[in-house]
Parts: sequence; structure tokens; C-alpha cells
Amino acid sequence: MTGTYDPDLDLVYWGTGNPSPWNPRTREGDALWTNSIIALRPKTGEHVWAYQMTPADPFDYDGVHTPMRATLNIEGQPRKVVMQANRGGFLYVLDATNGKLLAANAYGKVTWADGIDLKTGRPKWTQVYHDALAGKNVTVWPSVSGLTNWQHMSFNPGTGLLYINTLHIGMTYEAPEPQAMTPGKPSGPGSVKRTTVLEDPNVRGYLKAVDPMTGKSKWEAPYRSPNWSSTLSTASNLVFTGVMTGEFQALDADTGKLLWSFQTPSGILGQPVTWERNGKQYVTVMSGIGGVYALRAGDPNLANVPAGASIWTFGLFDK
Amino acid sequence: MTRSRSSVFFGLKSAAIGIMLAAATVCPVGAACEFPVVKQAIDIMLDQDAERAAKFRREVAAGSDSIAVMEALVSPEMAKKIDVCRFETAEYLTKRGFPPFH
Repeated sequence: MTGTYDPDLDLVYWGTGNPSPWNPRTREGDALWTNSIIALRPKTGEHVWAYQMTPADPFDYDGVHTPMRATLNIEGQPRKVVMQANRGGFLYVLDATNGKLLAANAYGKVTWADGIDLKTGRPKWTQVYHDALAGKNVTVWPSVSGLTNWQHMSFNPGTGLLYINTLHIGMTYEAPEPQAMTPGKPSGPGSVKRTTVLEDPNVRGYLKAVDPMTGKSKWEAPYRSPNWSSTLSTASNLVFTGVMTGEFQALDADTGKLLWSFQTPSGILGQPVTWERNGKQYVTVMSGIGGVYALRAGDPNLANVPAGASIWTFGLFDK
Repeated sequence: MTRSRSSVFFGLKSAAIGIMLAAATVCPVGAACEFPVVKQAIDIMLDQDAERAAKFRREVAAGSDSIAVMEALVSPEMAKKIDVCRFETAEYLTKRGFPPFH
């Protein structure tokens, strides 16, 4: 996943993946700087600051989601921040200049931690987490796929909200007694056990409009399968996104009301983009189902979605 | 006695080539995937060996990774062949309803 460059601060922000082996019983310590956001000086490689979201991660809660740079009004003052809706279920807001943690709140169902200590920056781990490290079979939310995944969120400075396609899926998880490492053999997938847990098989995801400082939703639109397309917010208060069953949609940014939908021939995982030519604005998205979730999650809602590879461009109406 | 810079360079170069050739002789070249053989072993287990098929299904249903379980239930030689064909095995197990972990 891509990093983010801030030309004003001359910093590059990059998220990092989870530690290996996946089974946490083979590891000790926090495994710095896995599951982290790292700020680097691009010309020198200087490590300016870093913040680790999930120390000693047992659940594969990567921190690789593209960091979102914005300026928020916090306690009456404009603050340059970096935001990340993390796979582990917390929405982090950090001071972009020094990495100070300003807010960290759950934006969906999370059971492995009760919150994040703003002073230390560390999770307030629950018994679920401790039992998982002890090798017990636990039910934990979110699942290995995260509360969100590689689909990018977007920020609308007008509404002050983040638009995030989320997953509503938990898992059973067990880290058995680790086996001896064998050169050349994978140390990841086979080292833990997990199964999928659902509250409602017909609601496996939401598109949420989230306040970055509280994690609370202004509105939530449920979907039968989680959207793996990103969101695109516009100054005209639209949110564009794609659905795994092929619908390309525009929703009202203030209310979540579905305003427009176009059926493409395959599932959408692509990222909507908007662009301008000769004074006219266009929105483009790719249609073509695939990826880990569609192929391997066993989601019955997607069993009959046809394969495809097409690109769709829509022009906005002339005024 | 002095040696020119170029003769030292060529001496080092020759030594490096010698080490590379020796390493190439000692290290086996990466084996090619023999997927028809692997597919046949998977099919035999799942379709004709009730005991091992039941164990495979039970362990995968309990949350184990399907490739890891498959490797544990076949001979060490076949496990090596599966390891070489991890991508093809993953695709095939997914088609059969047993997707491995990503």
C-alpha cells in the first residue's frame, strides 16, 4: 500500500505490516516497528517519528493502510494530523509533526482491547487478547481481515467526516503450541487456527461516515458483503463507492442516502477517481471481482458474481 | 613483490566466479511444480480415502490452514511436492471449497 507525502512538513508517512511468525507464542517483545506508522525524511531517510498501533500483534492487524493527512480543528486550534482507520478497529489521529497521539477510538466492534491509553499510546488489552496469547481458543472482533482492509477511506473537509468501508466479521482464533521452524517453510498461515464468526450473514459490512476524533458514526449504510472498493468524497457532498456485486453508487455525504446506482458487469474492488477535461468533471472506476476476500472468504453472496475486467467513466451533467 | 590493481581485480573476480560455480553445484536448482501429481494425491485423499478425508475436513472446519493439514496427511515426499506447488495447490483447494489462509 502507498505512503503519503506532506510537502509542507517534507515528511513521508508509511504504514507497516504485521510481525512473523504469525503465531505470537514464537515471539517476544513488541516487534518494533511492525504495525506502525513511520514518518521519514524522504531526502535523507531520517526516521523522524513512529507510532506502533498494535504491539506484538497476534491477529494479523496490519498497519499498512494509507495514512490520511488533513488539518483538523481540535479544541479551537488547527492541527496538522495523520489519520488511519486501522485494521485492528481503532481510528488513530496523530500529530503529523511529531507523532503525538491525539485520539484513538473504535469505529466498530472490537473485543481484543477496551481502548487505547492516550498517554502511553498502548492498547488496553482485554482478557480475549491475553487468552489468545496463552493459546486458548477465543472469539475476537474484528477478524483477520480487519475492521477495514486495503480499501482507502476518504476525508471531506466540508463535513469533517471520514468515509470508511468497513467489515463486520469476527473470528475464532487459536495459537497452538508452536512447531519448530523449518528452513524454507512458511512461518505464517499454518501456525494459527481461525474460523469466521458472523452476527448477521446478510450484513457483513458497512459504509460509515465517521467523526475522526470520536470514532462515532454519523450514519452507517449496511451491505450484504463488505465493500472492498475505496470511497471518493466530493466537495458537492457525494460519496462514491463500489459494491462487490457490481453496483457503482453515489451516496449523500450528510445522510448516507443512496442517490444513484449503476450496475456494472462484475464486482467492484477498484478505487473511484475523479478528474477534469475541458471543464467537464468525470468519475471513473474499474469493475472486475477478485482478491483474497472474494476468492477465499466463502461469502455465499458473491458465489454468482461474474468475472470481468472493464473500466467505466461517467460524466457529470452540465449545469 | 607488488601486484597491479588489475591483476588483483581479476584474481578476486575469478575467486568470486569459482565460489558461485561451487555454490551452484552444491545447491539444488529450484524444483519445478508437478501439479498433476499433486492434484492426483489431493483427489485420492478427498475422494477415495474416507479416513484421511474426514480428518482433513474436521481439521479445516476447526480453523486449520488447508495446505498445512494436507501436507501433514501425505507422505513427506508428497508434502515437498505440495510445498513447491503452493500457489497451484491453493487455487485447487479453493475450487474444492477449502481455501487456505492468505
